[in-house]
Amino acid sequence: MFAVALMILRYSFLLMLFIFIFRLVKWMISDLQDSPGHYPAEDPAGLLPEENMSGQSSDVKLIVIESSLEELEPGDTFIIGPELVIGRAGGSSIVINDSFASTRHSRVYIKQGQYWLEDLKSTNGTFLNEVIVDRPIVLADGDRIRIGKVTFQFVRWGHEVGSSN
Amino acid sequence: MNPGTFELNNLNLLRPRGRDRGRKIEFKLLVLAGGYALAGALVLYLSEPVSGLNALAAAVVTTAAFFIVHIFWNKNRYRGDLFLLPVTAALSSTGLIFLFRLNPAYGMRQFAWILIGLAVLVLVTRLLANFRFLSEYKYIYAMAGIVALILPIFFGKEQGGAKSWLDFGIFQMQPSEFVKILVVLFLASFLVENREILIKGTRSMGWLSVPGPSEWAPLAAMWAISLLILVFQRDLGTALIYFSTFLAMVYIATSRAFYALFGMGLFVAGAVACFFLFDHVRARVEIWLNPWPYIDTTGYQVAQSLFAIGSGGVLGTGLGQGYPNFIPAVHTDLIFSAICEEMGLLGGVGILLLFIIFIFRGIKIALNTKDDFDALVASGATALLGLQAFIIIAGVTKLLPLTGVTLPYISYGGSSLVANFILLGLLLNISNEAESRL
Repeated sequence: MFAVALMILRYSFLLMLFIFIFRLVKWMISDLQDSPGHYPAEDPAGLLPEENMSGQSSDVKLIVIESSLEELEPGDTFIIGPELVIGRAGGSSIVINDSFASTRHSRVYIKQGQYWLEDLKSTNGTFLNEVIVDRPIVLADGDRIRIGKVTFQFVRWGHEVGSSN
Repeated sequence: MNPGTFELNNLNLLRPRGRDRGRKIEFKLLVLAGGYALAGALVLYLSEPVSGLNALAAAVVTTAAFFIVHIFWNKNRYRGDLFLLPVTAALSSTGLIFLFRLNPAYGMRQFAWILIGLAVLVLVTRLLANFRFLSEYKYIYAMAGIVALILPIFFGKEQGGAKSWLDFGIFQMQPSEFVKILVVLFLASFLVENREILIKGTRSMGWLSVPGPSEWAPLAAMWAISLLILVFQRDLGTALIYFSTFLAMVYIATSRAFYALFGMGLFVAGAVACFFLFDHVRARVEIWLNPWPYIDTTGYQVAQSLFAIGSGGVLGTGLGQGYPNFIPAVHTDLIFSAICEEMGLLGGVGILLLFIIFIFRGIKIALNTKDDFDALVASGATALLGLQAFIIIAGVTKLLPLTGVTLPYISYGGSSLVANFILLGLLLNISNEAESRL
């Protein structure tokens, strides 16, 4: 009787290994599926008073580094407030008066203390570091935003001191 | 206080928690890994109540220690990868159970080393959480590495044909295990700086553009020196790991197949030269091609390993039911054969799956980070551990000539265990950094 119980226990040792691996793989797959990656989910605990950020916003800007248009020259700087819209429409924060830009092309906004770039369903797309933006994405210091032939650099002073220089 | 620091502190406070599910998955997986370890220890206890009691106690304390690390990270809101610690727990528990089964004295020492390794892991994740400054000291790594490899040649002690041990009286140390970490850090910091030039090249040789000597010479010199030293120590397995990690990291940094192919060509040339120059290398290759004529002498180890794996069958003989002690060095390099004998093909496959999952997480961490240095350290550490596991498992199953290296986290050996826990800590810090940036 004891020998049989021991036998069962011996094989349950092996079984436990596979149960562990099975759960591991299962949770890893679900982690891949709902992994927000660079797109973190809403989190009430992380909601921040936006006023706190506006104090720093003067240090956050878009700088034109490449442009085919006369009215936008490399070096032109745009301060990002709580929200900044780029587009062909006259009311946009940055006006790109050319056919490749849509009326409201894309926008940069503050959420949870981060700056986000969103493409407003433009015809020709917005590119972040040459990757098309298909959902809102967090901007990091030094990121390049390209719309048609105009490229901006996102600058956030004091953010990640190590990597920006 | 200058405005810069204020800004940074402020940002830390305001940083969103993002995906704040805590470390629940890690907890659940640790429960399962703990159950696995306890099942094994219980078998040992029931079949041999006297020596098994220690095994049971060690398994309970080790499991508790892994939980303490988990609780500590949870409290500190550490955000490193959730899957690596449970995988490591399963691997090192397997090692612990098998060492108690093979020789309880080794089991007790391994138990102490696992606890030390976990303490070092906690220290690494605590003190080196901002590890970027490590990229500043590349020539210090090179010098320290060379010194650490030279010491055993003069003061070392020979064990199993390799002279790579330093004897400190109460314990022995194998510096080449720690040099692994220095190799990864040196290569990562050097490649980050010279990546562009290595990719583009500055001069052309026919159809090929190659970088100037100031870029490749430090690399080549490092490699010639460390390989020569290892040849003098007769530690071929470690030399093989260094060289393949080196190739992997250069390829990852430059994505130029030329370097990988050129390196492999150099390796083949070196291997052929070693075959003709050194008797011990020739013996290894001959055993690999056909161990049976040497079964009573040099081929004994490989032959016993194959017998053990074969007698295990699919389900294994059951823990404690086989005869793995016939295999020389079964507690260190050949522990995989003992696992295959007593847990069968399924147990061996399980261990391989754990290593594959470890490598998968490591590559994922490397892909998730935005910083080149981070990505290179993560992929280098992953390549190193993966290649080490591959080289020794291939060795004991006679897919490659058997070279003496440890199976990461499982084999007996304090230096190896602590060094691998440091690598684990670096990987976790890199994923922590990537997650916190969100």
